[in-house]
Amino acid sequence: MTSREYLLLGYAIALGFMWGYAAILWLKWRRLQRRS
Amino acid sequence: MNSHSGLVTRAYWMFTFAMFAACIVMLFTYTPIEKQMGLVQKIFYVHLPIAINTFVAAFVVFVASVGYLWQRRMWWDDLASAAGKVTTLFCAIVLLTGMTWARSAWGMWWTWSPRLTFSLVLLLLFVVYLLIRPSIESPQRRAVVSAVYGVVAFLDVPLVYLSVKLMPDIHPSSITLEPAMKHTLWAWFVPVTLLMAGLIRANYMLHVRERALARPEMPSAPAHPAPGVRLGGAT
Repeated sequence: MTSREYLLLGYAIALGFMWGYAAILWLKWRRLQRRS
Repeated sequence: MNSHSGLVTRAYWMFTFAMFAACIVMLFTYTPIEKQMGLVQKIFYVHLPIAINTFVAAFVVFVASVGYLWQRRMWWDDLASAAGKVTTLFCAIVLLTGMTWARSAWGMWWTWSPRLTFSLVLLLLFVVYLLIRPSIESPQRRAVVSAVYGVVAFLDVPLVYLSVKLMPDIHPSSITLEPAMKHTLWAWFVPVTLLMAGLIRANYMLHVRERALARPEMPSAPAHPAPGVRLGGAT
């Protein structure tokens, strides 16, 4: 892997995990809104 | 959630997202490439803010745990649990981005240096924190055990921070950056901190909502009480 590919992998991990988790919380919130 | 607070929340998340986009553009158009390590050094601009925010989230766990032990209010426990999840996530990201950087710069994924070891211990401590919570059924007992554990787990944070100053490590004890690199680093602190705070708040709101939905509904008082029955009032 090249230096650029490692850089992209690092940012994909960081942003993907953080925003992926935010998306999971948003979906959970919507499910709870529908239940109430 | 009323419409005003919903609007503020939406604006907060949109601003955070926009700041991330601006920082990515800044990273590829403004930030210079470091001469020794090359392009991969740019992982540093997301790695360090996430590492510092891991400490902040762990500190929230510590404060909320002490708060619960002091006041015995359940909202402290909800806050500690919310911050514990974010600490675990951020700590895992710090280790993974660090490993990616290390593989490219030094040719190895991992080394048992003091900072890496204490960081791994921090991750494992908070994974265990999240695992023990659902295993205790009584909410009060769970809150007490988690609060004591949360205080103890936080003690690893100063060890992670001080390890490079006290022991030989592959991490530098201090760094010198060009002005453009400093600007990029400070810029990245903004969206990462906003996201950390937003995730803790979102988690906390979910806990509060789940608790409200789980609470059994109180039987409603009869509109016309039977003669001789007093409703409420001091006795």
